[in-house]
Amino acid sequence: MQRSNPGYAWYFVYTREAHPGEHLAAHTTFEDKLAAARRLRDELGISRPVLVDNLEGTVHHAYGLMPNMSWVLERGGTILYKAEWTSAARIDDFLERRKAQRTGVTTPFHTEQIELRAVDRDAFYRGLRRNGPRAFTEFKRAEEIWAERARR
Amino acid sequence: MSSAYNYERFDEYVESGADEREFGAFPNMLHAGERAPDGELQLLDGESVRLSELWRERGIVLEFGSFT
Repeated sequence: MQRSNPGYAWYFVYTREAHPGEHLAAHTTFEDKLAAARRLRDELGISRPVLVDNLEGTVHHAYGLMPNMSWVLERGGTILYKAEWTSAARIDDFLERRKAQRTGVTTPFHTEQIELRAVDRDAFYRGLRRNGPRAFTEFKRAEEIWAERARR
Repeated sequence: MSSAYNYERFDEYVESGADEREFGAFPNMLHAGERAPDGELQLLDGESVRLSELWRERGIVLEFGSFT
């Protein structure tokens, strides 16, 4: 998804692999990670610039380790938007609203919200299977662990 | 060799409770209005870039992710 808001540059930060499998191993060297990031760009068709974190995930740790989080940082590096999960539509709305309010007298205010995201389970499972059969079975096992936790 | 960060098995990562700790910590760290952490990343051509170089000229959107 290439977004159009001209004031902001969109980047994809490549982290650890969330669901390693037979066809996509956990990274053991930075070269592995860089190669996997190139595959990601080519196979998933990511048109934004891809930034690869180091093997230890220093930047990923600094921003909180969520597997698909997003952040909007204004010019100069102040955080404007923090989301545990990425919704490109939400980010677009946010940036459009800010742009529309650039004229006139404004003053900032802080918000915190719980949003809902659509879950496409079939597409997610296809992604797991692309990573390898064990990525799927390990996820099913994790679902059992989450169900056990919920019962406690 | 995999590591705690670069775990090899997702079920073992969940079984260790790391997911609960990480998801539990996220809402309580680093907030809107604060300075974003700087850091060095690599472009796919191998060139290094600092986040502070990217946000010097314009705002940036960072989406973190992997294959899934």
